[in-house]
Amino acid sequence: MLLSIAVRNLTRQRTRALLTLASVGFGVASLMLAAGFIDDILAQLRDATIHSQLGHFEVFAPGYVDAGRREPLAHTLADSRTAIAALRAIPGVTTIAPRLSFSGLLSNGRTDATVSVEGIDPVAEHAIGTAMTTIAGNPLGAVSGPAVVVGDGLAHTLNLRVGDSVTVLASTRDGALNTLDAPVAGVFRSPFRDYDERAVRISLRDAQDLVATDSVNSLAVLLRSDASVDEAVAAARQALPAARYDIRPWWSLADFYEATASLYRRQFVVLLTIVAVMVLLGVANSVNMSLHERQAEFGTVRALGYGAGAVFRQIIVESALLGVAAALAGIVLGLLLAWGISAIGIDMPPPPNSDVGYRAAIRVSFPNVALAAAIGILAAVIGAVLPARRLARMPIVDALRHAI
Amino acid sequence: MLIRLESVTKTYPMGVQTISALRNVSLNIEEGAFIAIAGPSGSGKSTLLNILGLIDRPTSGRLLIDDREVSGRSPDDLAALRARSIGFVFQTFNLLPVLTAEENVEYPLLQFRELKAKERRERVAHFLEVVKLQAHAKHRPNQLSGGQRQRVAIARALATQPRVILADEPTANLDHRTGTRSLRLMRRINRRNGTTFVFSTHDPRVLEIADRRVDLEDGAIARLGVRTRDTWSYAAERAPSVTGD
Repeated sequence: MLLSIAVRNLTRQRTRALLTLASVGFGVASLMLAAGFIDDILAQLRDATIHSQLGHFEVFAPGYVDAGRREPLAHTLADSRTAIAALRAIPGVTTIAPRLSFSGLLSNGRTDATVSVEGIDPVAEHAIGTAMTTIAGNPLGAVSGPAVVVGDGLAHTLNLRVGDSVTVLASTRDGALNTLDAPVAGVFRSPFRDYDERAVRISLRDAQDLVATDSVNSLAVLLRSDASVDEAVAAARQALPAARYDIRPWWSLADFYEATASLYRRQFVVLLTIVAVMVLLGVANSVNMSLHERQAEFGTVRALGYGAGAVFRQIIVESALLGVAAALAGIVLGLLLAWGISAIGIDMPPPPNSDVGYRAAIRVSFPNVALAAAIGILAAVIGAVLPARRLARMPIVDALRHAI
Repeated sequence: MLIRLESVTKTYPMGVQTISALRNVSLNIEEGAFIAIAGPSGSGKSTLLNILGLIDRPTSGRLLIDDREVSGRSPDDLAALRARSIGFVFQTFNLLPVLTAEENVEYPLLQFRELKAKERRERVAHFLEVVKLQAHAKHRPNQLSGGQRQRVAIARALATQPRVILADEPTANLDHRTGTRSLRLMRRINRRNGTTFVFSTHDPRVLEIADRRVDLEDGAIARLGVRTRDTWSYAAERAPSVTGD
């Protein structure tokens, strides 16, 4: 009967109940939208990070990640062929891209720039680098013979066009200088501006010839699914001894992603707190007004022999019911809005360190929906606690003075 | 002795002053009594009724039910005692507006876990029959007249089979005819079931059918009367007790 009475009491003041329901429901829907929007931004950033540079995980020689960028040729993989064979045996691995990275100079004959040279396997990189776009000319694998592709920032700095001849200058492992003369086959753009301002890509074979090595710095590994990174990394660590291979999942290498995700998470916590407080105050106000009008009713209930706890429970059950109804309404509203907004799309400007804008959507996920609903219900319940406590403790004779 | 008050006082703080609502009230109420507490407004009738009903506590003095001191008990103990021993008929009836007549009568019974649903329903039906409201069992308070509401309130008070029913100004919100009928109904229940009734009133009709009266003035008992045929014979002023039949 407690539930039945609670439902009847909620429908007694329809306008007020609907307004409270709307305020909680809008709170739930807005949390769903905010969480879904942030999830989409982070998912797109994650995809861009994985599919432009890092793959799902990378295999390095020990010490390369911390010190190897200064001396890349001193930190090459001891036996990349064995490592590649072991990695191919791991379930879910689709692509393995060997890379040889080092610093050098790129000259157009008139001026030069310090660049980061990457020797790559064009076919493997094409599979990994779906977030990289060739904006002029061709990708590296489409031309025969020595060729370079450059980031659009670098092309702009050196005023390079497709077909221009350039010289790549680098030091061999023994300290001798070596050069590679090749035409610019294409210009690419990745989601990361600072990368595009210094990146030169040549074939792995040309890179190995340039610095006189037959080894590589890293193996970037792409998996079939984003969800199986942990398992694949664990399998790789089991297959490849830690003394010779340093295996890192993508997120431990993606400082920008981690910083951005951390920023958005904090923003979401602030937003969540604001919405929760607003909903809580709205509910507290509504419950307060409602209880003020029902003081005599609760005085009567207590005079009939019910204890203060029963009155408290009755009020909390009513608020919890309202919270549940509002959360359900908020979920429906949130789903409709998420669907509508995603269908239209939200045009986003390029994020920091990028020249590429994107279209955001609202990602609906069960954890986000559950979190938003839980916040709505909790706020409704917590909003009722103080008024319920006050009324439950009110002297019966005082409560009865407000005649029904 | 069903209820005994011993030197009960009740004071309220009002700003810097203290208001005495009851002064040194001693009273005995025996099982089966039909008592009217009379007096002008502000004489302390409602305060006395609230203390008898365990919804207010005396500032000093003792309240005994069945010779057991109860005024110092915890709120939960008092609530349990109210549930089983005391029924209320409020001046404004105080029916729960979202419940039907039968649900209002059933509501206090929900506290009694030993009472099965079937027994509960039977008891509700019985007391609605006692107040002749079976036909209105499914009606909500706003679909009932004032007299019908009061009869639901009486049935609700009777449903827990309390030792005493306290009725605060029972005729104040009823027309003359309905008020008279209600009083007769309560008198009939008193005679038939032996249920003790205590009224606060200044309605002469209540005094006409009461067999004991307690006249209050300024929070103190001015006189105690016992009906002898059609007249009141008064005990000595500020006498200590009034007893039932």
